[in-house]
Amino acid sequence: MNTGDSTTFENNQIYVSNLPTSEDVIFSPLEVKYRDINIWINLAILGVVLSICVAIYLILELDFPLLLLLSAFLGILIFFGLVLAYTYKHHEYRGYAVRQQDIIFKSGVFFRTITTLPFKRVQHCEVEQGPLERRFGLASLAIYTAGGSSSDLEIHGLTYENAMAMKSFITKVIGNSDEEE
Amino acid sequence: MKKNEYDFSVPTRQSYVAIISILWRSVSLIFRQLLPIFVVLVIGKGGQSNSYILISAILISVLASIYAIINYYRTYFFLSEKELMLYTGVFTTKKVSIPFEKIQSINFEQTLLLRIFDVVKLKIDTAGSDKQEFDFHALQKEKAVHLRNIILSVKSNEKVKSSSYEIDESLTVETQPTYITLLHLDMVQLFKVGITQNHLKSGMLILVFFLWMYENLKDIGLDLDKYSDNFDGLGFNTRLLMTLFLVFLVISIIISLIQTIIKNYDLVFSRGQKGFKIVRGFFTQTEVSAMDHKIQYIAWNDNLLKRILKIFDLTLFQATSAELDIKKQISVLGCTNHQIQDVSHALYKYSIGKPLYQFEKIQPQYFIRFSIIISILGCLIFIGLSYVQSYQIAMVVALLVLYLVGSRYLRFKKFGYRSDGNILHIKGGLFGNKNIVLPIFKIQSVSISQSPYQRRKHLADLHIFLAAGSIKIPYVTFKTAQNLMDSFVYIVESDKRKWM
Repeated sequence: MNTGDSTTFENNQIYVSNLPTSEDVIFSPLEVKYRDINIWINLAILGVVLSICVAIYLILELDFPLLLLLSAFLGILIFFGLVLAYTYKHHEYRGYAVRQQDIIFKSGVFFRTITTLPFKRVQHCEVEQGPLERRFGLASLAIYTAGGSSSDLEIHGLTYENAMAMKSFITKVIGNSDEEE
Repeated sequence: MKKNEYDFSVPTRQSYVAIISILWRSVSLIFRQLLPIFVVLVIGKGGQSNSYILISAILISVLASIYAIINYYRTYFFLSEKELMLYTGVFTTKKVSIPFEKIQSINFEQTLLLRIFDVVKLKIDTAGSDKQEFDFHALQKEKAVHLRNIILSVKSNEKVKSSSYEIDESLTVETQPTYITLLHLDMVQLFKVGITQNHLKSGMLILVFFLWMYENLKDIGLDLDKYSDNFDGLGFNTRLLMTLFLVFLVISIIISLIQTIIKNYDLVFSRGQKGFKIVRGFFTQTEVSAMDHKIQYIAWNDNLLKRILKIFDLTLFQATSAELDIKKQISVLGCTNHQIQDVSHALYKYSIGKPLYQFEKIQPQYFIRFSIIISILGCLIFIGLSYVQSYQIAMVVALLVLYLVGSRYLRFKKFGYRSDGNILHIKGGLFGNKNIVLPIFKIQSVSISQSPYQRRKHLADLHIFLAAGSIKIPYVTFKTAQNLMDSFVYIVESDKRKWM
C-alpha cells in the first residue's frame, strides 16, 4: 500500500481554486408530492387527535370551563400549525445533486447539513417503497457506506423512476471503479 | 517444508490440553454468570444453604467436564487442497470450511495454562461479511506453526500461479516473518506506564462495584444504612472524608497499575513488511497483528503524568470488515516520540515533527459561544440556589461553570489541523495532548453541519467519516469547511488505492 505505489501518488499540491466545488452545484428539490403527502398525514393526525379529545370529553361527561377548552383547542392548533410549517419548510431546504463521482445531499431547517458521499465508497444502495409511497409512485433511496450509520444517506421523496435510475447509475459507477491493491 | 512430519490431510484433533482448556472456559463462564447468586446466597442465608451450593457446584463441574470431553472428541480439522475443513459441535454437528484465500491472519494465543504444556490457541480471522472466526482451543505449538506455514505457503504459491491482483497481502507477509522490533516494554517502563494510566477509570469501576454490592445486599435484606448511623456518631468531618478519598485513590492506582501490567506484560511491538504485530500479556499471551491496509487512522495521546515522562498511548484504528459494525482498535502503551515517528513514517511516510504546513486554528466562537451560554445558565442556577439559601451547592455550580469554561478554552487553544494533500493531522486535547493522523483517501464521506448561530456567523462544523469512526473539526468558517470538503472528496475520488 505504501511501499510500491509511491509513484502514483506522491505530492499533490491542492489548489483549492481549481477543484470542482460543491458551492455552485444546483440542487434538485424533492418531489412536491412527497411534501403534500406529509402535510396530509399531519392533518389526518390532527383530525384523529381532535376527535379523540372530543370523544373523551363527551364520554366522561367532563365539564371544563369554556376558557380552558378554548385554550386547549388553540394549543393543539398552534402545535400542529408549527408542525405543518416545519414540514413545509423542510421540503424547501432539502435537495440532492448527483455528480459524476459523488452525490451531495443537503437538509435541515434549523440545523443544516451538507453531505458529500463519493460513489467509490458506497457499499451498496437500496430503493425502498412503503405502501403509501407505492400508491403515489414515490420511493426512497438508501446509500450505505462503511462509515457507520451516521454517514449513510437516505433520500426520501424521489419518484420511483428517479430512484431506480440513480441506483443503477451508482451501481454502474461502483462496478467501473478500478481500484488497486 | 518438512511435510512428512505432520500430515494434516487426515483429520487431526486438538491436543489433550484442549479438554482442560474448554473445561476451564465453561466453568469460569458459568461461575461469572452465577456470581451474584453465589454472593447473595453466601451472605444471605449462611449455614444450611452451603450444601446446596456444594451440590450445584459439583453438578455444574461434572456436566461441564462431560461437555468438554465430548467437545474434544467431536472437534477435528483437516486440510484439503484449497480449504481448511473443521468439524465441531456437541449437540449438532457444525461443519466449517474456510478457503485459504479467505484467511486473513492466523494468530496464536497462549494462556498461562497453555504455556505450561507448550500448546497454543489458534485463532483464524477470515475475510468477508460472514464473520466465521474460528477458534481452536489447543494445538501443540509446533503443529500450529507447521499448519500456519502450510496454509501460507499454499497461498503464496497460488499467487505465483495466478498472479491476479486479488491476493490478500497480509498472508504473503507472514511467510517471511521479518519483523523489526519497534518497542519492547521492560518492567520499569511498564511500571511507568501503569502509574500514569487514567486512574479515574478504575476508580469509577470500584465505585460502581461498591454501589452494586450495596444494592444487592439491600435486596437480600441486609440493611447497611443501619451501620452507617454509627458514622454520624463519629462525625462526618473533613478528615474522615480526606482519609476515605486517599484510600480510594490508592486502591484505584493499585488496581489500574496491576491491570496494566497484567495486560501489557512483556509487550513487544514490531513492524513487518506490511503490518504491525503486538505480543503481550502475563496470564494470557496474545498476539495481534494489524495490517497496514486495514488501519484507517492512528491516534496517540498523553495526559498530565505521561507528559512529564514523555510517553504516549498509540492506538491503531482498524476496520474489520466492510459490512460489519465492529471497530477494532489496538492500543500500544508506553510509546515515545520515536516510535510514533516510526509508525507514522512506515504507514504514511509522514513526519510528525516537521513543520511542513502550519496548524490551522479554529474560530474563537468555539470558545466564546459556549462560555456565554454556560455562564448565563450557571448564573441563573446560582441566583436561584442563593435565593433558596443553599450556598454550598451554589458554590459547586460556580466551580463547575469555571471548570467547563476553562476546559473549553484549553480545548480551543490546543485544537489544530493541517493537511499536506495526502494526510490530515488533527491535534487537540484537554489536559493532555491528542493527535490523529489519517490518510485522506481512506475517508468514506464528508459532511458540513451548521447550527442557526453558526449560519449567522458563516461558520460550520466539518464531519469526517471513516470506516473506524468519525472525526469532527468544529467551528471553521463555512468557506473553509466547503474547501476542505471539496479537496477531501477530490482526493478520495482521484486516488486509486483501496481503503481496505
